[in-house]
Amino acid sequence: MLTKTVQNVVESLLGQQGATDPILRRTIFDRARGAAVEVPAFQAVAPELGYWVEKIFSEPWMVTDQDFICLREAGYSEDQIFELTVAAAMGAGVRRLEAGLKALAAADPEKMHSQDGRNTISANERRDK
Amino acid sequence: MRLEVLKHGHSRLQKMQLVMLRALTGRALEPVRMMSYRRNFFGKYWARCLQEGLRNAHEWSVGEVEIFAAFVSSLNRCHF
Repeated sequence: MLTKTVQNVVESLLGQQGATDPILRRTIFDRARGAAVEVPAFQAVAPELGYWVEKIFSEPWMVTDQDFICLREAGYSEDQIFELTVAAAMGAGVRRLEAGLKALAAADPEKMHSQDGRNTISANERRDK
Repeated sequence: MRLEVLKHGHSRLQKMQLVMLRALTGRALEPVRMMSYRRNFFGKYWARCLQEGLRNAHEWSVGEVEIFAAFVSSLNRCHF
């Protein structure tokens, strides 16, 4: 259901070598996306990350300087924090995108199953009506 | 800005671009800094997503899409 453009973002984010292990980035992405990631195992590996991922997903506006200080004190470099934050945020965003696409499909399954959705009225057509 | 790498980690060309952006707008926007940093890791591809979502919609006008984005941002208490 995700467009190729969105898939490219995810593949770049999760597939490249970086300051963090791609497997950890994938785990965080999947957790934020709502996948059934084993929480105990995840927490065992990086307990402070579990809290961070939940905050990014549920209340990102509550992120404070202290959150970053905690991650630094836990030993994460700035590049690692950058990668993991982006992975969590992208997972949260994809989850919401998929929920929206699912709602659209439920509302109008015929439109969602067409090749490119062009059997709908465009913005210009609506304006000219 | 809470990560120093997002303040100082850009290439020389990007730093010049950010200086010009600041001169034009009065500030260097944090999303631009974030998307510019290590752009091959995330920002380059994310920019294409934004273009697709905000500019290439078929069923909504650009203005309508921007209103949706502004509304969602307000719910997330996001300035951008």
